[in-house]
Amino acid sequence: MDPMTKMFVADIHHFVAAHDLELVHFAKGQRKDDVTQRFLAGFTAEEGVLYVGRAQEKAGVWRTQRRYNPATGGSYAWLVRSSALINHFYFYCLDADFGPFFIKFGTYFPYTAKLCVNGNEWAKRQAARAGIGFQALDNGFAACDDVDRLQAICDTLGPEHIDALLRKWLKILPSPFTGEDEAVGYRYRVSILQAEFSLTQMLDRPVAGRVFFEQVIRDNLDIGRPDQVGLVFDRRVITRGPRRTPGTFRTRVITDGVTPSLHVDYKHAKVKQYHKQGRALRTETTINDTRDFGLPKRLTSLPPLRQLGFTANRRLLGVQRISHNPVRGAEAFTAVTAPIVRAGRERIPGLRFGDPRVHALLQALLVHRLLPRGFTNRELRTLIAPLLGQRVEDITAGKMTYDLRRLREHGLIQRIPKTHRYRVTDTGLQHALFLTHAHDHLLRAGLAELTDPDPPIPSQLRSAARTYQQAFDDLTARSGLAA
Amino acid sequence: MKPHIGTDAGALYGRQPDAFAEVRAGQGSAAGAAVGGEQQIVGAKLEVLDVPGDRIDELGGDPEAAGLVVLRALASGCWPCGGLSDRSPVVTLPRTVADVLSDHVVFEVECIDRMYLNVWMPRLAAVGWPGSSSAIGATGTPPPH
Repeated sequence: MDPMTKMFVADIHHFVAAHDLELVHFAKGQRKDDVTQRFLAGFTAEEGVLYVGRAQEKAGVWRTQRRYNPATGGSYAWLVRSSALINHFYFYCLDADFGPFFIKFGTYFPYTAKLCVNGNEWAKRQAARAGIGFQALDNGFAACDDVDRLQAICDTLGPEHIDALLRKWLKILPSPFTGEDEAVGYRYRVSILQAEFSLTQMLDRPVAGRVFFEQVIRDNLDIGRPDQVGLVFDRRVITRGPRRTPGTFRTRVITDGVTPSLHVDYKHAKVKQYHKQGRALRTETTINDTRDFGLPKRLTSLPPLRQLGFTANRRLLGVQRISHNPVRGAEAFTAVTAPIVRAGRERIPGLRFGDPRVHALLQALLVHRLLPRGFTNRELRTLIAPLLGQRVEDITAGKMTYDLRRLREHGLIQRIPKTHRYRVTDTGLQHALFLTHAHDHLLRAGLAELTDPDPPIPSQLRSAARTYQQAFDDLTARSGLAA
Repeated sequence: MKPHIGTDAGALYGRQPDAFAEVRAGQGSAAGAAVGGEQQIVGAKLEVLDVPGDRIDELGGDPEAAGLVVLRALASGCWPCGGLSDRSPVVTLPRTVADVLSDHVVFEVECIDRMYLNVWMPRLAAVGWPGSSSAIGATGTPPPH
């Protein structure tokens, strides 16, 4: 097969030269996506080859063995399956229908190739053709004029589209097999190695989305247990005996930078959930072996696999429980602590959590709530001064007016009509009580327990912190020894 | 025992206890039981809580019921807000993420994402000897003589 291999590699080099392409030698660990983005940024045609890459990778190959007939003693060649580190050529292309994709060929008999496409990129191009306005979010959608039509487009992506893409580009790119080979039956076939099915849910409040997802993680650390996984995939999970379901049942929280993601496994399949680019909740089911679900690997299994994947996404959301809606809490906190800006100019400062003056005001509200006729600027000043360790005359009426405005604009107090008196609102009381408790009883007390070198009484928090510190130091020491 | 405002609280408010509406006699003992005889709210000590008249209106108009609502609320560490119906015990059961999420999703899209496919030659995928009739041969093909 050596002549065939040499001819194929020579064809690739001729193709690179003829199309004035760059041949990139991928280093070990180099992110190919980053290289592709660079080429993509400078590519202006509707479709074509962006560049060709070469990398050495392990692959399944055929090798010949000399064997002997036991009866006659005659030798013969025998093909056996093996693996080897061989050269692969990546063709990174842009297709008018599919957008960016790549196909990589192994340069060793039997010249198996891999094709990688993205359905979201395909949907983007189809949506643009159909005249649907949208805003992209990485490989998804951040906004869309007609979501129903977009979803209808996404639903139509099927095996025939992918097969057509492959046939089209096999004719364009160098191939180890000639037209004559194909005529006698040497025709590539496509099977599914890995398929991801995504559900992207664009959230109304981007920042709160992260808070929401972090709460989801906290409340669902047991989602990877066999009983839960069985519900997600609608499969019976057997945990004991000779017919136990293979695979590891676990919940993993993987943090990339500051972005956490939740991972759940079932056999070779995975469900991953994360907050995508700070704007959307993304739930993805990845099927790595179609046989886990009793389906053959061929491309025609895509429709039933799609059904499985999308159902698993929905089921995960249906199985996951959340103890409360953290978005509400985040909004309420921001509403009090963030400044209010009106008409782009008027700025009312927020009531910053941790600011002594703010907490003095909140404490004062708790007292004033009980007054049926409300309170005045002077009465508030009288109460605030000792809380701040100052004399009443040191706090001017102007300062109090400033604080009263902050409290009023943030909805914690309201003015009693036709008077100079103020009254604490229900919201004001709730917020003042909770923030005061959190600040005085939780944070201040907790930090005192942690930092006091000689605490008057034993503290569970302090003991736990010291145990954790000790365990961390032990680990560090062990790592140092191992190194 | 007639309820009254504690002296510390009175001093703190700068008002006389009678500035507040009285709560019916008899609730004092309930108050004592509910709040352990003394409730501290940010430095103001209230031996027993009086419910102002307008607050009674806000809490449904019935002073006795309002008093009990206040006592319950104090026992749990918060002041009641809104009418009586709002203060009924709330049992928070965990809800599904899908339920909570439905209030915050602007739109959603389901789509096939990344697909990684094997492109292979079926006729070159079996073990055997090179001269067999199926191009490369199939498992079990007898060795040549």
